[in-house]
Amino acid sequence: MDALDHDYLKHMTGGVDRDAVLEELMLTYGRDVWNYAFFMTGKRETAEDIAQDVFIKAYQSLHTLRGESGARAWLLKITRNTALDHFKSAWYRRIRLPAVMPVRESQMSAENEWLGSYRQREIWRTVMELPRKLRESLLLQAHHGLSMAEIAELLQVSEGTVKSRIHRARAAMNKKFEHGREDDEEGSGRA
Amino acid sequence: MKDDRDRWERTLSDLPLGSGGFGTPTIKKVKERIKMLERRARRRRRAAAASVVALLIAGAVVFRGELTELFTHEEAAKPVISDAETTTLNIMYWDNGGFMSLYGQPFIIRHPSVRFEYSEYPGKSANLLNLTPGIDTFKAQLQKSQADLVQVPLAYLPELSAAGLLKPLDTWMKRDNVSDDSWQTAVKNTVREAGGGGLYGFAPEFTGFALYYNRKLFRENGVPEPTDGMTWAEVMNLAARFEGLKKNEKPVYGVSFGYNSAIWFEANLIGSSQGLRLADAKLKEATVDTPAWTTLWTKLAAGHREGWISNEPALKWEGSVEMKELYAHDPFLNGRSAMTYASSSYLNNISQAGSAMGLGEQDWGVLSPPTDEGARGTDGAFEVPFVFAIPEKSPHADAAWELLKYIMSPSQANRLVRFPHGDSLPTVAADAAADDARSSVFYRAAVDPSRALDAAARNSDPAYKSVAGVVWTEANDRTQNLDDGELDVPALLKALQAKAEQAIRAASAGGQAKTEATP
Repeated sequence: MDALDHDYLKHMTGGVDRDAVLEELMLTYGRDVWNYAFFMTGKRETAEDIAQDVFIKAYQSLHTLRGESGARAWLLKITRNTALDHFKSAWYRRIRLPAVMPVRESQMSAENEWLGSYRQREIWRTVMELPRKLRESLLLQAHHGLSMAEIAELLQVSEGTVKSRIHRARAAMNKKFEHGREDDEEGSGRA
Repeated sequence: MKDDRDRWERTLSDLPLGSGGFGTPTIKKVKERIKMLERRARRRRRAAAASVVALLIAGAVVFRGELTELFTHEEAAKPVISDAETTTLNIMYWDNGGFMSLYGQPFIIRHPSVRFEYSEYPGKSANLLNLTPGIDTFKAQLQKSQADLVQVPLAYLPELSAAGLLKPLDTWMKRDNVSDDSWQTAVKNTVREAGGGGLYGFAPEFTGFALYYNRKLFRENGVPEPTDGMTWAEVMNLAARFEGLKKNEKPVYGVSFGYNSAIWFEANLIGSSQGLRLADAKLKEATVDTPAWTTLWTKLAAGHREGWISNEPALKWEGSVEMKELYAHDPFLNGRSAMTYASSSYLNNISQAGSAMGLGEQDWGVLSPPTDEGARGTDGAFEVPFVFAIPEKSPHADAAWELLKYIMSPSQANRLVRFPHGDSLPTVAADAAADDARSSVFYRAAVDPSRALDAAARNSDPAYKSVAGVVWTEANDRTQNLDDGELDVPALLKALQAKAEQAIRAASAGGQAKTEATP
C-alpha cells in the first residue's frame, strides 16, 4: 500500500483540508500547548507567543504528523523545542536577568486573580518555583497525564532520569506543604 | 500528611491554569499570521513553491517507507487502528456532513489513517427532529447495511438490542477500563433501561428542562422566590401573585414561555412534562377531554385572562428575523417576567442577550423543573434523542469501539460546548459546565427512566405523531384569534377530543393502529 495513503497530505486532497486540520489541532490541543509553554517559561505573554509559534510551525509541517498518539506528543515536542529556542535567544537572556527584581504589585494581582483561590495559587506558585527540569517532569505527569516512557521520549532522557526528577519534585512539594500546614496550624494557634 | 499531598496533586491535575490561556483570540492570531506568511511566501517564491512541495511530498513518502520498515516488526501486536493501514468506518447518521464536522474530523486528528464512508439513514425525510421512520423501516435498513456505527433513536433501542442486532458494550467498557462515572446519571440510567439493564449504546447528548427565575423581580415585589422541586400548581400560584404589576409602564408577568408563545404551545409543553397523552397506549381511545388536561387548560386560560401569564403579541415573521428581534420579544430576557420554563439551551439566550436587555448577570437563577406532586424534583420533559451503537455484524467493530470511546471522551464534550449545534448538552459534562453552578442543574436532574422511554416511544410512533399533529393544529386554529378571557375550555377540549378520535380512526384505517400495547 502506498505510504502516502496514510498521512495528512492525503487527507488534504481527500476532503479534510489543511486549515481544518489546523483548526482541530488548536481546538483539541491548544490548551495543552499553551499550558506547557507556561510551565516552561512561567510567563503568560511568553506562553502566548510560543503557543502561536507552535501552531504556525505545526501548520507548516503537517506532513510530518503521524497518527494515533502522535498529535499531542508531536505538538508538545514542538512546544518544548520552541521554548528552548526562546531560552537561548539573546532577548530572553536580557529580560530574564532583571526578572529577579520584585514584581510589581499590580502584576501580582492580575496573576493571582487568574490562578484562582489562595490555596491553588500557593500550589501553583510553589510548583513554578521548582527548578525547571523538575517542574517540567512533574507537570508533564501530573497535569498532562503523560507516562514515564512518554516523558522520557519527549525530554530525550532515560526513564530513570524522569523518575528521579519526578521523585525530587514531589519531595520538594511535599516538604513545602507539610511545612505549610505546620505554619498554618501555628498561625491559627496564635490567633 | 497524605491529605496534603493529595490536595496539591489534585490541583495540578484537575485544575487547568485558568481559562485565560489558549482561546479564540490566539486561534485568530495564528490564522492571521499564517495568512500573512503565506502571502509573503507566495510573492517571493511563487515559481519555486511547486517544486518544494513536490520535494516535501516525495521526502515524506520516502521517509515514511523507511520508518515503516524500521518500526514494523512481524511479532508486534497489531493496533486496532493501525497507522500503517487505512481503516474505513461505515457510518449511518442522519447527516453525513454533520457527522464529519462533529465527530469525524476530531477523530481523524487522532487517527489519520481512518476514512469514513456512509450508509443511508432510514427514511427519506430524516432530520434532527424526525429521526424515527418507524421501527420496521429502521430495522430493515440496519440489517441491510454494512455500518460500523449507527445513530439509533432511543425509542428503538429496546427492540434492536433485544433482537441481538447491536453489540453489548459492557464487556468492552470493562476490558478498556472505560468508566461511566462522568456520564449524566439520568442519561446513563435511561440508556441502560432501554437495553434491559445492559449497555448497548452511548448517548452523546441530552436535553433537560428547568425553571428560570428573576430574583430581582421577586425581591422588588415582595414575593418569596421559587424553590427546587416545585409542582406546576405551586408555580402557577406563585406566578399569579404578579397579577396586575407593571414596570416602566409595561406589564410584568409571573411566568412566560419564550419569545413567541401561545396558549396551545404552553399546554403542549407543560402537558408533555406531566406525561399527559392525547391517546391511550394502544391508540384506541383519545384522551384529550380528561380531568388532567382540563385542569391544565383551565389554569392557563385563567393566567392569560388575568394577565399573569405573558400575553405579549406574537412576533410577525416577515422574511428573515434576527436573533436580537426574537430576544426583544421575550419578556423574561427583558426583565418583565418572574419565571420562564425552558430547555438547557435557554442558558445561551440569557448569556447572549440577558444583560443587554435588562436581566443582569446576578439577577437570575435556575431550578429543577416543575412537575406533578408524585414526581417532585424530577424532569418529566427530559429527553435523550439518540444513541450511537455498534451493529452486531459490523465489519470493523473494534475500530468502531475506538471511535465510540472518543465520542464519549471529555475532550469531545468540551468540543461540543465550544460549537453548540442545537438544544442539547453533552452527556459527559464539559469543563465549562463543571465550573458553572447554573448549568449543573441539568447534570443533577432526576429522571424516571421508564417514563422517559415511554415518552420516546410515543413520540417516535408515526401513528401517535399523526394524531398529535391534528390535535395541536386544531388547538392553534381555535385559540390564535381569541381575545383575552374568551376561551371556553370545555368546548375546546370537546372539539379537540373529536378531532383526535377522527385522527385515530384514520390512522387505524391506514393500518397504523397498534395491535399490541406500547410498553
